[in-house]
Amino acid sequence: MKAWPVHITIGNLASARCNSPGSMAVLLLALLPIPPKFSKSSRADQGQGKINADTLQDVFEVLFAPLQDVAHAGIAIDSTDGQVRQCFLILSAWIVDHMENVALHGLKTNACPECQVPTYELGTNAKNYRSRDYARYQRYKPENANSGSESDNDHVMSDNLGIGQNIVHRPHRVSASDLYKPDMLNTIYLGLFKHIMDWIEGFLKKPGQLQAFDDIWKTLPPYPGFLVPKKSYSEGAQWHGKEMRNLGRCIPGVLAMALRQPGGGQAIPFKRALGCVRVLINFNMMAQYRSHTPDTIAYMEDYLDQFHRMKDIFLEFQVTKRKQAKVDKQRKEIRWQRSLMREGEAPSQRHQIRDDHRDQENQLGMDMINAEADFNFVKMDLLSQFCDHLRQFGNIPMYSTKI
Amino acid sequence: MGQIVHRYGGQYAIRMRRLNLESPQDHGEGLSADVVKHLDRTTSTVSQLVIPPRILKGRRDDVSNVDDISRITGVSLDIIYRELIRYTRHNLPIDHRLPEDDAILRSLPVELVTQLEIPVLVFQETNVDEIQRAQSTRVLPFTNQGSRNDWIWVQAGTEEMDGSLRGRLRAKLGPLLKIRDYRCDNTDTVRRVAVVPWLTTVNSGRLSDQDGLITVQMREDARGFTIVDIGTILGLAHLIPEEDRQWLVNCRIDWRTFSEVY
Repeated sequence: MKAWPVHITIGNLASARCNSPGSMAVLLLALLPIPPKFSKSSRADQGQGKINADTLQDVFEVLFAPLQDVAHAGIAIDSTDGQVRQCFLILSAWIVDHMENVALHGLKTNACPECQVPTYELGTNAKNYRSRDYARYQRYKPENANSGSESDNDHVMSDNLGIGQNIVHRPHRVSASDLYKPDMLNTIYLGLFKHIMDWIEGFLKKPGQLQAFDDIWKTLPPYPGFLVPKKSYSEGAQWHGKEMRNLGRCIPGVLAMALRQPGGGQAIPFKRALGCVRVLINFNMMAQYRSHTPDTIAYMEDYLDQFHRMKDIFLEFQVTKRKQAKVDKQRKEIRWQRSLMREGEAPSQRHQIRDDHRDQENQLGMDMINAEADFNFVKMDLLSQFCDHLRQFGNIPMYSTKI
Repeated sequence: MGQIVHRYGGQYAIRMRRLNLESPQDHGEGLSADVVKHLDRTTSTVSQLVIPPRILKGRRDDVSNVDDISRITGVSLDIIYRELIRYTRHNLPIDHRLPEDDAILRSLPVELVTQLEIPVLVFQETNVDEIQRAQSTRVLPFTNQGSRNDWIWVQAGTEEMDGSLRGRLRAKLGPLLKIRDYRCDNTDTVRRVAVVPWLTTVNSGRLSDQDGLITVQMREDARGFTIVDIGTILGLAHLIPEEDRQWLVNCRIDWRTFSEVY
């Protein structure tokens, strides 16, 4: 049976200490059962979803119960200098993937866990939205709301609320909106990198450069800490965090080699694609620095701005299956209508008209895809949280759960 | 841009130095005026960086002199002599130089090794080194696989040279040699050198407009390799093969290279 492991550690330990095997700095707190997936379409499924969310809430209440009194009154702990100190253990952060954030905060799947950015601006690098006020959300929940106390803002907030409740509305001294912390694994390696590799794959297929990319991928020389790929990129079925981190260290070079000789009219798109990937990798490299200065953070912001300016080159590859099916259906209808139009033409002209129609259909298809595609997914928005976090906390610690 | 973060260690050291200076003055502790004056005077001087020792490992038994080196590498004896003399003239003080007489050079005992351990300061750390192991197996297999001759960075000039690479040249690690000069009475009579084929930068080491990377290529002239002291080898480089004798410098392979080259 699969389970969600919940680990716990102390935030003021150095990450090197936390990650060293055998240090016992990270402890397994619980294994949560993973409920089966359901469609949420029927009333019964929604009811089951509510039960699952309530169960999660109850489990975390049990888990956090020992922290309640300790956070309030403190606990005497022996210090290494021989003194006994009064310590207050407060839940300060959690590092989880987006869907776990959704479950833990009781949000909808396309809602940012940290700020109130609307869904249609998730991919725009919007920065001016306030942090979420989870305490207020809790008051608004229908089962908790008092009649007559709802404001317009509450209704706006309700757009982002999912089925469950926020699991941390009770522990003392815990600010739910501060619990989310940006992390490299879920946001960059398994988030943006996976997206961008899908985009790159689509981009390379168009001019037929995917094979060249694969060939270069297999010839990468060794380097300390770099796992030399044994298979071509296309042969890799599933990519884990370490492999994506590895990929980030060489992808600008490999892509540059694959796009080395642009044909007519390809130079500008190639340059734009390379630039977009390059600035994202630069952002990723710099985000991992152990210490930052205002200048490095300014560089990161600049990279992020550039990434958002250039990402449109991959827009046509950022289309969901549902939207792709919709576009395909529309294209099919147009093709059928045009074939009827060609029936009335002289046979000698049909070929020419058919070629013209095919070009028009391709262009129309591209326009439809561009109209349907967007970059409004949560991990795109989470990138903009990195710089604020660095200003506040200095760096982004990385944790290993290999205990 | 490398600059700020690259000098993090320097910033840290200066900050610590200031704290050390201010601490006794603030607390009025019993440092004599001449000690404080000495500290003040030395604050502005940059202490010489101590180059951590590189260690050669993996000695081969089938080499005992320069003739053997020539036989194994396929490089003519004349060229080896010429490069050894050039190396000794450019890098060693007069009283420590190797002989320029071919006959004496030929008689010097030589060891050939296949691995160089290079301590490299961990990025943004001031006193933590990581060991990079550069291999030069020539044609011999490495761990039962193909031969391995790693790319390395060599400090060959000042920071103003060579565009974005700032005086660091790339080279493929060739034979690693220990040459013992038995004529010297000094204790330090062993010269530890590496024979390295040079690469030159395309476009004067500037980042490409198209992809933002630096391209390097093998030198076309006759002097395709040179001899360098192993102390000038800075660490491993990561080069992606491009086409005939050309490579792309992968400057995002680690934080240090990213900070120094980009």
